[in-house]
Amino acid sequence: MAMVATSARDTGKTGTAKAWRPARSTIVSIVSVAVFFILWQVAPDLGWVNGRFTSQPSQVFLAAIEVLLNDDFFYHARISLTEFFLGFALALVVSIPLGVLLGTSQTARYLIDPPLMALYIAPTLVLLPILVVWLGIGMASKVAVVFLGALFPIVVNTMAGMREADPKLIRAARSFGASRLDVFVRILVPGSLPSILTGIRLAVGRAVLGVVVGELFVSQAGIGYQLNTYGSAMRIDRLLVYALVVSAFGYTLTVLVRALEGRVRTWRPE
Amino acid sequence: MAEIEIRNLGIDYRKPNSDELFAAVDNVNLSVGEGEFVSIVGSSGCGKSTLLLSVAGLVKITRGSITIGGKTVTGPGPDRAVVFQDASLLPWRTVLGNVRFGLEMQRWTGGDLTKQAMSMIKLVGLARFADYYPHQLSGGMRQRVNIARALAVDPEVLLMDEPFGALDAQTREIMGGELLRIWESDKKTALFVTHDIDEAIFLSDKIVVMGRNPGHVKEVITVDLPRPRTPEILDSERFTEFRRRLRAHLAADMAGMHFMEEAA
Repeated sequence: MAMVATSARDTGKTGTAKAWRPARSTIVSIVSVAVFFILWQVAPDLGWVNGRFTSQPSQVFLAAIEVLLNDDFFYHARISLTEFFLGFALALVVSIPLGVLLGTSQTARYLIDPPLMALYIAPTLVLLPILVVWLGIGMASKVAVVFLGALFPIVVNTMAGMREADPKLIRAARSFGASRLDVFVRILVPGSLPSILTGIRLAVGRAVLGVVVGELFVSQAGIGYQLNTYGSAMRIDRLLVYALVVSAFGYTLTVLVRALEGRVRTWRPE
Repeated sequence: MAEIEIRNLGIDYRKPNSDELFAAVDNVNLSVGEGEFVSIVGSSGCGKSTLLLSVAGLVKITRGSITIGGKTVTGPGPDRAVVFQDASLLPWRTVLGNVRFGLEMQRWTGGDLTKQAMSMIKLVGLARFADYYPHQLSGGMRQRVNIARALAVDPEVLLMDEPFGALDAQTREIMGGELLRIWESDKKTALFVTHDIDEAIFLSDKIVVMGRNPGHVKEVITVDLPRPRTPEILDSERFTEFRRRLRAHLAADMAGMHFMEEAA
């Protein structure tokens, strides 16, 4: 520990003394992205590709400003976000207790495990047409898709986290007179937290997919609805703006959960 | 009083994937007096760990009884603490957090938990490492935490299941000396499982030699070497004599084992 602290201070000193020099990997990434954007910009102008189908970075940039200023962007974003967070919150409320139950009760596992696995492996999007029949083309059907998509990764990972609890730790706790509740609160919960967060991170991806595909399939509003509209209208620039918004949203959430996972996992070297 | 009385003890295990039972330990009688340090030695599979864990209340007894200070053992209790072979530390808790853990589980009421835990951490020589996590410690240091956790609850009986089994020879010898120093300061009743003959002689007042199939007590040897003991006695003539006797016992058991395996 002392050594780590000293070396950190040392790098601090050298950092202020020398000019900042980016790592080789950073330079390579920046250059490759820059080259991509330049090629994309000039390719239609030079007649290499048809600009009607590919658009250009400059057009996408202008489209982004238009979209943000007047395209009811915030209205559509609010619809999609509501669907996302409602579905995700419901999934969290149901999946964590269900995962805990499955992880700690063998009977429950025998009962629910096979259908659960079948549903986990099958993409929940195959249920989309039925959900629309049951719940209509409004927000409810998308909330349901998000819920189902997010549910299974969290259930399965929570269950795994509970089951992977080290029997030696449970035995040590019992030797000090720990009750079943003590074992759950002090060993199973902290021990499975990293697994649960992994489940949540995987669920984010599935939930974003659920919202967008659900809205693309059939809807009256939302980011997916806009994607569909501009796709049909051949407005590639605007389509790409919305696609970027979706990917930025999913990426940000994933990074946030991953950071949380990192904090929780610090105690686990492997 | 914390003397241990084991009477006609038998422990059956279920064979994996069948209803068949086999006796891990059978017909064991053993007395450990208040403040005595008793080691259990024997080849692997002789049920020595099973015996120790049954005294801890972690293994169900099939026949016979175990009493501690006259009270029958039915499960774990605050009169006993176990030092496990694997340190079994919570990886998400620091050294201090782990030593506090036993106190928390026992709902300890003897004062400030952190203060009690810190004094035990000092006793095992880890005061500088109280904020470290288990993965930042060496195997020997982890076992020190394991011992501190058990001592912190101030048990009447200390049960140790091959606590130095996974350590290298040199660390093992140092830890043996440390354990003896700590034990001699308040002489708790101690039961110590090991397969290391020298370790058993060096630490114990009595050594219980166990045999296999099913696990049973072959002999109890009284080690009347004077205390406090120092590493010099390892080279004494009487120590060598004890070593010779124990070796002969264990070698006979190993020979019997090979004979039985060939017959089977």
